[in-house]
Amino acid sequence: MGSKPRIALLFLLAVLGIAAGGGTAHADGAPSGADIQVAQTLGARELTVIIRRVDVTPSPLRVDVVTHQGTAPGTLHLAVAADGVTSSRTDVVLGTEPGVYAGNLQVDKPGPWELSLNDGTGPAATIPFIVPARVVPPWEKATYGGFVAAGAFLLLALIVGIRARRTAFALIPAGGAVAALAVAVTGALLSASTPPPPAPGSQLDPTFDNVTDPYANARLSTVDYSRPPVNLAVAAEPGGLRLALADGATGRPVDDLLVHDNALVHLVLVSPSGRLNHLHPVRVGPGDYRVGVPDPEAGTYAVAAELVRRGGGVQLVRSTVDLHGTAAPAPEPPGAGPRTVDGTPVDLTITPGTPTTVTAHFRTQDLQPWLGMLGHLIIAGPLTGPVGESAAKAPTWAHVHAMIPPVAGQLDRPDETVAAYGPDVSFTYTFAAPGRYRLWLQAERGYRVLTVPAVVDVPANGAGR
Amino acid sequence: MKRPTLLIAVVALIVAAGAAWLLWGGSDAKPTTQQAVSGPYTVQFSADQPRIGGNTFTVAVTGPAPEVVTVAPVMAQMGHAFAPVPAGPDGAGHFRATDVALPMAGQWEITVSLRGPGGPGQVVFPLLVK
Repeated sequence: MGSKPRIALLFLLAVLGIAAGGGTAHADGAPSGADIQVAQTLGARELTVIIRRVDVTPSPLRVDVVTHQGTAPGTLHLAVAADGVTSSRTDVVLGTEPGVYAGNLQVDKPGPWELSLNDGTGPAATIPFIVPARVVPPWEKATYGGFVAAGAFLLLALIVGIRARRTAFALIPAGGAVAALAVAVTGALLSASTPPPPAPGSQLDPTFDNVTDPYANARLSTVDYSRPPVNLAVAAEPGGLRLALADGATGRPVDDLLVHDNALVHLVLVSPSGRLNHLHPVRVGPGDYRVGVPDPEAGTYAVAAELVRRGGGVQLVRSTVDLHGTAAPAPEPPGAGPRTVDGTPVDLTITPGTPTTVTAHFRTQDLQPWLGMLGHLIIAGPLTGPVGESAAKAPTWAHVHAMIPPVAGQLDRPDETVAAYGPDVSFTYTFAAPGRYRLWLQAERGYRVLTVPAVVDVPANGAGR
Repeated sequence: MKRPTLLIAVVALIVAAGAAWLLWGGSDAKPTTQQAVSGPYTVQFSADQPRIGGNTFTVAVTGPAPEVVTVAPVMAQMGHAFAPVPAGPDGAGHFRATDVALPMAGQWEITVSLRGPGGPGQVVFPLLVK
């Protein structure tokens, strides 16, 4: 005899093979994470917080805090929490030199987490983020498992063919091999047309369950994932602003903002005399955002907030706020031509037409990405009267981007430590109506965000389509 | 002639084991339990197999004992809020809301509101209805 133990051994080997196949498929899962860059105006500091990618859990979580020219030295208290329970803390000591200051935290499971930053002066800023799980799609399991099982069956068929009394018995495991191959090939071919499950975070509210297994409740939605518009209430408080975001359909606080262009909220303020602040309010609670406004002027500011709710779609909310301050009004800026901004010479050329091209020439190729872009251009107009008030009412409020040239195959976009771009930053915009517009061009150099204001008169023949 | 019963059994077993492995985890619907913290309250929320129609939610609160607990569902994508449903006491620190209507599939958000000597508290739990 002796055939029974041998068959038992083969069976064991086949099961082991399937199990090992499963393990291989798991390890082959594509890297699912990417760095998360979030600009935060925390108190008087403008910081960029970079949450480095996490591939497996438990694992250390590296958080880089990028400071800029003029950022005060001090200590930031960082903490991460899941389920409302803080599990890891660290302190990051910011030096006087602008640059990257790192902190190391620990995350122990995939799912929705919250990073909090506290400078000791006010409520902590919290950034919701997702620690991704390695997810093996069902078709991948079928493909790998099917091929492993086919191999095991083939081996079994060979042995049976040689050892059994009747060679025809080998047809039984051979049939198994054909079935397993069919499963594997079907899985592999269907994978291209299988829609991915709705993404926790960007489409669905993330929970520990759906981050760990997005296929468990994988049902494509019958309705659009996008959510209602927000209502914005802006209130001045000592040192800054308090923003309350409410759902336009239910009135509930909006607590599902996504990081978009490296911030939860892009808040642009235009002062009564035309100074621009591009700030990034910090989340201190559901729908509750705070931002510090450095050295305000007295009068009416134009307020514009850009944000993205879960489900997608950029929203622009505009408003006004009256501030008390003592800053002297800024003079009206020139049009095109050379000038020096914060010690950096820059030459602005404006090529009128439909569309109009605005190019800033910095003499050196050492510009840094800011908010994931090479440059930003804010346009408001046509304006009449005080800039703040008329910018708030202006029919055109534009935020134009100059992209970082993309690098093929690079998952993570370069952060601010890469000072290799420029020297030209170019924008193209189609003005809808003739008149006098204000432009503010922003780019980063030497960890300083340069804001180049300008005035442009769009002639009647240079506007419209 | 002896039939290859054992061989057929082995092949059938392997195929069955493979199928079971493939379907593993796909069919078991776990009760969803989530936790959040609001002020002095730590709130655990669970819903057994959320579905279209009447649902039962259980809320467990640690911290100061709340007097009033309500659950208010919102269909986030449609922008439709429903009136809060009171959750009755169900043992120490436990509350249960029965027959909470969720009329469609998709992403729901359940706001659990607490009132009591510990002050007001409010936490939101996402819930996916199949």
